[in-house]
Amino acid sequence: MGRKMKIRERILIFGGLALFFFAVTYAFWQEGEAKKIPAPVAKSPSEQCVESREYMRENHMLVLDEWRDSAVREGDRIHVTPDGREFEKSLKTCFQCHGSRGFCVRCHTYASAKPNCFGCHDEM
Amino acid sequence: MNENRREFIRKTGLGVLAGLGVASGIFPKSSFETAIAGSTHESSSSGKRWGMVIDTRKCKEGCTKCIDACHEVHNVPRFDNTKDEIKWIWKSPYENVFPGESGQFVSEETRERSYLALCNHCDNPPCVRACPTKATFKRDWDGIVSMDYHRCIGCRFCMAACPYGARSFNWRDPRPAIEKRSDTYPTRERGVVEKCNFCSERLAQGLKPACVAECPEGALTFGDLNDPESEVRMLLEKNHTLQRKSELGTRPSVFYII
Repeated sequence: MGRKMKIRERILIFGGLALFFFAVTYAFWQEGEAKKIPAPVAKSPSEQCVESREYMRENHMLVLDEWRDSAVREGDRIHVTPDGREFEKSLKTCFQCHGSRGFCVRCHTYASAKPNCFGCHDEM
Repeated sequence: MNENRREFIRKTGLGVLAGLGVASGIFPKSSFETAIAGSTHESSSSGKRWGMVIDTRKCKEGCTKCIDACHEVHNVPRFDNTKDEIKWIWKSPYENVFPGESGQFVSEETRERSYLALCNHCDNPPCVRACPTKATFKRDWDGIVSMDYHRCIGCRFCMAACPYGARSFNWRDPRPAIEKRSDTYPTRERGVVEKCNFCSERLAQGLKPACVAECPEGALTFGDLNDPESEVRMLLEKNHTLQRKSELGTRPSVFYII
């Protein structure tokens, strides 16, 4: 009697463990790829941004922070690129080519990083 | 043993004396003293100092054109209760605008009128000293007391520090209460303080402040107080003017012809 119970308990325990591991590792059994990173698009792709595409992809937030601080705190509202082109330091300047906040939102949703610009600045 | 103790006490005493000497070298005056040191009459004269002269004799009772223009240009929300109210420029009775001036036997005409009030863009702004994040700061190139809404944490120390009540706090989300959205200036968010910015965004485009441009009576004059040839300085030269609560030493840049 005692021995039988033991076997049944073992089945229960190991069966439960197997189920548990299956459940935990379920996500890794799935085959497939990560969601595709949305490709950013500009309205007028011929025009050049204030920096190279690679630089902007990685560092646009630094550019925006720099623009914000120098425009608001130092009153320096004009950005001059190394090759002499001039831009007004404003989100509006960005949207002249990049359309609307939809441009920002697509990647930011993917990266789950929420920009807080649009609480005050026009979403256009 | 005794010898050691005596030696120890002597050295400690010398150490304390030396320390005091160094400290008095590092802090020549307490910060409180330096704050008082600046006189009420001189002004810091580096670069421009934007200022305004309000000719209250020309300001018409019941006219709110400057207020409407300002509030529309800057997306100032309109809440109908005084607790949530946001105002950049407003009208108030004589005893509220000039509480130190009321005196005796002020003419009825003077007492009955209402007077325009706005941020004074003080040369010695108490709000700037109160702000823990430097969200509000005095622009050293033109004297405007400006706000960096990105940095404001909503502590409202500046509101307590401002003797003119020129600052308002966004208790509610301002966006739904904006009557006509202007796209030339951003809105604010709930939880930040806001106030008049002397239209620094319009000045950057070479325009005059909205209130000055909109006044049909020409009661408001705007200009550089540091330029002796400017229109504001001419008016100050020709007329007797008042500054609000000048006894506080804030050196307001808004002047009133009564």
